[in-house]
Amino acid sequence: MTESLVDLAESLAAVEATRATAAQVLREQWAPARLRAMLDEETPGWAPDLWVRAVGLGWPDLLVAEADGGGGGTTAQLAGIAEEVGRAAASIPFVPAAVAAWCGGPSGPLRTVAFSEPGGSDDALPSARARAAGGGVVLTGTKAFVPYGSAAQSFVTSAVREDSGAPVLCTVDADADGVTVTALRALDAAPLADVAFDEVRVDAAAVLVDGPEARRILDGARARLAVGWAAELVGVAAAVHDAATEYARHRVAFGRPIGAFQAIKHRLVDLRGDIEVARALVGRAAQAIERDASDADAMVALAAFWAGERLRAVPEGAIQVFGGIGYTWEHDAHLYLRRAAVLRALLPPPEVTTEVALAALVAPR
Amino acid sequence: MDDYGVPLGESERAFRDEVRAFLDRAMVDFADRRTRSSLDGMREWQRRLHEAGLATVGWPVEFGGRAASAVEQLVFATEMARAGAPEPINRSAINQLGPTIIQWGTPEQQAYSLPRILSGEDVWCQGFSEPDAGSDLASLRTRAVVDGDDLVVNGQKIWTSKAHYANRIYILVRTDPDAPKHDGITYLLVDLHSPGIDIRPIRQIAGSAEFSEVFFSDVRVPLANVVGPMHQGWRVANSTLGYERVGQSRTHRIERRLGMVVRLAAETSVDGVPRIADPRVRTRLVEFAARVEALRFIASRATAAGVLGRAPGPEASLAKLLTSEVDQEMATFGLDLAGRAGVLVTGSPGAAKGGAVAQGYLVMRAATLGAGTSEIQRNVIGEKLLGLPRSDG
Repeated sequence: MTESLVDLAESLAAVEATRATAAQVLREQWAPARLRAMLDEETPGWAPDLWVRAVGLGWPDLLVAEADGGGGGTTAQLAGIAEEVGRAAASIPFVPAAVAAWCGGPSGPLRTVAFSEPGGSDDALPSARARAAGGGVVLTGTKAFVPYGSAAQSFVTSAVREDSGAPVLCTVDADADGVTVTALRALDAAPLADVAFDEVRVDAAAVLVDGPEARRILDGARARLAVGWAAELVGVAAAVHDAATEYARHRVAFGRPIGAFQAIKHRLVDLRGDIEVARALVGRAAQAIERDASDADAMVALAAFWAGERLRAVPEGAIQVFGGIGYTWEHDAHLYLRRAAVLRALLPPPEVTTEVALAALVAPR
Repeated sequence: MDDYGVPLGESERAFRDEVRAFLDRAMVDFADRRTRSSLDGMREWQRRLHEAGLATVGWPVEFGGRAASAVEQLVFATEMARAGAPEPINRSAINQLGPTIIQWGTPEQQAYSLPRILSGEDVWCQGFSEPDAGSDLASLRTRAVVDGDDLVVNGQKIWTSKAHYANRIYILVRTDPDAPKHDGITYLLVDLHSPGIDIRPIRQIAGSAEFSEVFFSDVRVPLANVVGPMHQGWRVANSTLGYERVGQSRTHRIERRLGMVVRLAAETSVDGVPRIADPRVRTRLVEFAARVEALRFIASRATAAGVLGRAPGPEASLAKLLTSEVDQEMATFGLDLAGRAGVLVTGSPGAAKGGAVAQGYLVMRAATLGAGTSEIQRNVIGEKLLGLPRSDG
């Protein structure tokens, strides 16, 4: 083998090893039944015990360079773990915490990203404002639909500097003066929150990136976030599809397993095709991000578009295959349906991804 | 544009340069589209490839190939597709029949047939499908009975391409009618000029006739022309049948068609508003782009797996189905985008893309029929990949 083939084999092996470890940990410490139990609680739920294990394994710091005390992992590894998290329907903040660490260095207590704003498409510059004050900034603005926002102890958030009009990224503690966290209640019990900043003082050390670099980091963070959510959605879809396929092998109606009926068989094949296209696009986008390729934005947009537009239909179709049993509270199918619906809402909307993808399509190559 | 999806080593880069140098020299004479697709053009292209030692890079060296690695084959296929190179006239014989003869043929069959495939001296067509044996190929009924040193063949083949100019045909015949349907079949090489063979072209929906019916009435074929063991033809054929070359060459066609529909969307308008400004059109284009890009990545991953000596992932078995469906949908959408000009044919004033849009719409009906209908593909994927029970019992 040539040198470069060895590299290729090693990078593929690294992703496979990461995935295998993640799958095993999730199997040991999580069951979808726990998500069902959370849905009956008054307050949003997640799995701090599982998260402690994930932190111990270095998951949140996966994307941080080894020199900075992180795992030195790739975006493909991020996608690999995210897919396993989705497959398990595990309630942990892996994707937003890993992206927060990519922006701000190795993590301690739970930290998430707070980029999106009310009514915003998440793609524009933030409307939150940062005013220079004594080396640091004073932050005012509102962030919406923050993943794990009511569980996190700090946020990596974005704003625009009033003096220069350039973006700035900084870390804000959840209990700092002027921070108001409003917990939301979502279909999958996830601790989403709206977060308001009112004249919040951020000292110089908590300003992560400022100046021309800030836009690049913000865009890079959004790209990794989108790929991570898309990968988690791939896992959700793959798990419920596997379960429906298994059911179709054994459930007998009219004297034969229902999977022998082409209406069922062909539906499952088509859904599997949608999953494989999504998984390929996630892999392609992860590769483009890693190489800092000029088409990375377009590839991320395609992955987010396809996952968002096609994969929620997988649990929908799976419930159709399960029939009545799939409509019961005790069956797991609705857990995947709920998680898929929320993940789709976390992805950038199709109006945005369509435009980014098309810009690359019509540009002369 | 050097990205094949897998990294190239030094010898592979040298091979790429050799192929590119050949293409630079040879393609000068094939710049015209009509030349490229004409019979003489394909014949001449085969001759040029043979001269340059590029007629078959994948075959073993002792049979005239270069024992090219998976990466080199990918490089070869990709460079050919990028240059818009013509098809060698014996493409299917090189990809399918040749490897079969190499694996199963007698030394005499190898010594006689293989060089003539490469030079284009023999032009081969394939006679597998029959009127009642298409997707269900093993139901074939063309009979062959031993008589002295010959087999006597009676029956009918259909959807045979190139039959109107080929001089040889390789067929599957039923030699043991009492055996289970997969066990009584024999693989046979036949001179297409033998007495008793009648070839009738089939005119297709687009008007041209690339396929024929081939009738056999008491056609005598020497027993020496049987490839592999008698009655074992199903196994012989399956060793190369459905062997779809995995590589980026297969996705070049859908990449080109994607480019075409994007251009059509940009160039056409309704009441002065470009169609590409329509959100519905924009969504469709991105749906196509997503699938095309995914298939490109799946192909390069499958190649990488081959290079690393691993089995391709499950996604590779879906690629044919997904590719043919997106190709057909894009051709149909192209017709929609072109509006009235889309239904005008070659030769008409105002025809979109000189009639290629209308022609493509018709021709692409075949995408979901050939090499196993999409319904059969779904059954096979459902059974092999998803492990679902068979639909017929």
